[in-house]
Amino acid sequence: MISVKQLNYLTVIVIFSTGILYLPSIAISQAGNGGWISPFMSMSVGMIVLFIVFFFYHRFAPKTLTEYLPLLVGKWGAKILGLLYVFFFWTVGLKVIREITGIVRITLLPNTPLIVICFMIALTVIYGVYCGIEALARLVELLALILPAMIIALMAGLMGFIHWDAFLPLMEFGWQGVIRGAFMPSSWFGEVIVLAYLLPIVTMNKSSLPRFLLSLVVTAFLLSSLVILIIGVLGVSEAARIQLTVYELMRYVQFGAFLQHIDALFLLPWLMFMFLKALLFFHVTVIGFSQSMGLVHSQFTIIPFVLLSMVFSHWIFPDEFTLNQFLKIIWPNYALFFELVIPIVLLLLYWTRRHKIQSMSLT
Amino acid sequence: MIKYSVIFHKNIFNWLLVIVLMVLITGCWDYHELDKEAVISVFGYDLISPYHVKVSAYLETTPKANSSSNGNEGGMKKPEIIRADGPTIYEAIKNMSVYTPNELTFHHHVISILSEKFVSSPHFGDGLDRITRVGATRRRGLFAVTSGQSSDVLEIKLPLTDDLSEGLLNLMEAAKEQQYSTQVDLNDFLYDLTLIGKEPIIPRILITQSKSTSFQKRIKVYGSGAFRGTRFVGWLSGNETRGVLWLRGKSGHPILRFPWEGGEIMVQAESIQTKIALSQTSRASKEQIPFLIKMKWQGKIVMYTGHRSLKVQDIPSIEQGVENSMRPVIQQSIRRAQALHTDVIGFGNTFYSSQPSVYRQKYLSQWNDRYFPQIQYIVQIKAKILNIGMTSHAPEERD
Repeated sequence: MISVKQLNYLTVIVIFSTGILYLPSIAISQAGNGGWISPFMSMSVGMIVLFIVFFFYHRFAPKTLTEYLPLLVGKWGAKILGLLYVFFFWTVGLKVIREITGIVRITLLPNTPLIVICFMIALTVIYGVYCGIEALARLVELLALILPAMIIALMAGLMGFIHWDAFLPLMEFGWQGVIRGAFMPSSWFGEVIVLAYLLPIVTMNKSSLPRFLLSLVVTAFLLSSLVILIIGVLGVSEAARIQLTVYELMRYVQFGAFLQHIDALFLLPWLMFMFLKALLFFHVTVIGFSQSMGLVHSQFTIIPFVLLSMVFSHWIFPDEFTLNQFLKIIWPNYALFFELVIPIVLLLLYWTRRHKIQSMSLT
Repeated sequence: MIKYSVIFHKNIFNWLLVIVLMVLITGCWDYHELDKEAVISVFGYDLISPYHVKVSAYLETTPKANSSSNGNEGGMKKPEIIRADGPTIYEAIKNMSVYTPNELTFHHHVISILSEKFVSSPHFGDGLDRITRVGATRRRGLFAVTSGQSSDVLEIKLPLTDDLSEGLLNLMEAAKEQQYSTQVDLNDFLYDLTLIGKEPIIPRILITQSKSTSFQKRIKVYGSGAFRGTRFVGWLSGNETRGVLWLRGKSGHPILRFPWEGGEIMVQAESIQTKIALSQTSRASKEQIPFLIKMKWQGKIVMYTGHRSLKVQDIPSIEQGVENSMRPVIQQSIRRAQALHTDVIGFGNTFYSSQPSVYRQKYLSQWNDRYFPQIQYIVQIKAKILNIGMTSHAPEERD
C-alpha cells in the first residue's frame, strides 16, 4: 500500500516532468504571451478525468480499471479494452523513454550511440519496475521537494533578466490562442487516468479527491510559473522557436560571476522525474497486462515490455524531429481518446445500465 | 519452476556490475580532456568580401598539470589567436579546426566581436542561425561591434590583465555603469530583434591610439551600433547611447555635470525610471503619433566646484539643473534614431502594447521608415536629489 501523499507527489511529477518538455513552446507559439494561462485551461481536462476515475473507484473499489471493465462492457469487450489500455500505457512509457534518450543525447552525451544510452535507461527501468510501486512511491517522497527547489532556484537565477514588456499587450492572441495552446498539454494532464490502476492500492480517506485536485492545481501553477519565466527571459518568438526551452533557460541561469554553467544541476532532477514517470507507466502496463491475461507472476513481463519499448521507440521515432511532430500532431488526439473519450463513454454506459451493473457488482 | 525473484536476487551483483560498466563505457564517446581542448573566449567575425567571411579566435589552452608553461607549473597557457575563412560562418569555423590540434570549444565563450562590415552584410543574420542551432554557444555570450577589423581587437594587450575576455568584460561593466555604452548578450539581442516595435543595439569597441599612451593601441567601450533587424545601420555616440538607455529604462549610475551658482555640480543617478505611453491629449494626425515620456531621476550630489554652502532651499534649482541637462540628451538620441530610421528606443512597441491590432494592420510594416521619424513626443522629467553628500560646501582656504 502507498499513501495518498505519495500518490499526490507522483501525480505532480508525472504531469510536470514531460509537460515542461514541450508545453512551453506549444503554449507560447499558440497563445503568445498569454501562454502562461494555458496550463490552467489544460488542467480542467485532468480534473474531468480525475472526477471520472474517482466516480468509478467509489463504486467498484478495490478493483482496478481492468477488473471493473467486465461489468461495464462485458467479458470480451473488457478483454479488448483492457489490452488497449495496456497498449496505451506502454506507449506512454515508450514515449517517455524516447524523450529521456533524446534529452540525454542532446544535452549530456552527444557522441554516445543512442543504443548505449537506451540500454542504460532500459536496465534502470527494468530494475525500478521490479522493485515495485512501494519503492517507487518512497523514492518520489524523497525527490518531491527537489521540484519546488528547482523552480525557486530558476526564478532566483533569472529574476533580474525578465523583460516585463514581453507580457504586453496582455494575451496578444486572445482567448482563442490560449485555448489552442491548452489543447495539446491537456493530454499530459489527462495522464491522471493512470490513477484508475493505483487508487486501489492507496490508503484512502474522504479528503483524498480534493487533495488530488490540489495536486493538479499545483502542477498547473508550476508549469505556468515556468512559462512566465520563459516568456520573460527569452521572449515570445524565441520561446516558440526553441526546441528545449526549459533547458535553454537552465543554461541561462547564473548566480553572480562565481556560479555559472549549472544546467546539469537542473538536468539531474529533471531526468530523475522522467525516470519516475517511465517506471510508473511500465508498472501499470505490467499490472494491466497480467490482470487482463490472468497471470500470477507479473514480473515475467517486465523485461519484454521494456525491451520492446526500446526497439519500438527507435523504429517509430528515428530522430528528434519525428518525435516532435508526433507529439504535436498525433499524440494529443491519441492520448485524449484513452484519457477522456473512453472514460466518458464508460461513464455514460454506467449511467444507462447502472441498476444492472450495481446488482452484478453485488453478486 | 524457478522463481523470477530468486533469479534476480542471485544475480544482483552482476546486474550492478553491468550498470556500472555501462556508465563507464558511455564515457568513451563523450569524455573531455581539458588539456586537449582549445577554449575560445573571444571570437571575432570579419568580412573579406561579400562572399567571404573571416573568423578569429582568441584561444586559451590548459597545459597538462605536470608540464611547464612559460616557466610556470600548470595554470593557463599564453593565449593564442588563430584565424580562418570560408564562404559562410559555418565553413570558416570548420576550417579553423584545421589550424589547431586541440578541440575547439565554445563552452566558455565570453564575447563575440563583430566588424562593421560584417554586421552590415547578411552573414550576421545567417551566423545567428548557426549560433542558436548548434547551441554550443550559450546565450550569455556577449556581443560588441567595432568599426575596424575585429581581429585587430584580439591582438591588443589590455593593461593589468593577460586575459582579453576578462578585460573586455570589465570595460563593458564600467561603460554600462556610466551608460556611455551597454552590455548586450546573445539573448538580449535576440529578444530585441524579435520584439515587435523595437530594434537592437550592440556596444561599440573603439581602438584608440594617442601620444599619451606612446602610440600604443588601447581599447575603449564607448557608444553603440544601431541595428535594424540583423542589419547594422549606424553608430550612436556615447551621449546618444545614454539617452537610448534612459528611454529603455536600463539601470545604471551615470554622472551628469552642469553649471550652478558659480561652479559646477556633478550628480550621480541612483535610479532612472522611464515610462513611455501613447499620448491621448495632443492633437496629431495619423502620420504623427504622439507619445508622452515620463522620467523619474533619483540621485545624489557627488561633486561641487563652487563655494556656496548647500542649503535645503537650493535643492529644487539643482533638480531643475538635472532635468535641463537630461532633456537635450534624450532629444538628441531620439533625433539620431529617427535619422537612422530605426526605433532602437521601442516607441513602436509601446504603440503595439497599447493598440495591437491597429499597429499590426496599419503601422507595423512602415513603422521605421514612415511613422517613427515623424513621431511627436513630450518629455516630462522629475528629478529628486536624495543626498548632498558628507559635506555642505567645498573646502576653503583661510583668509
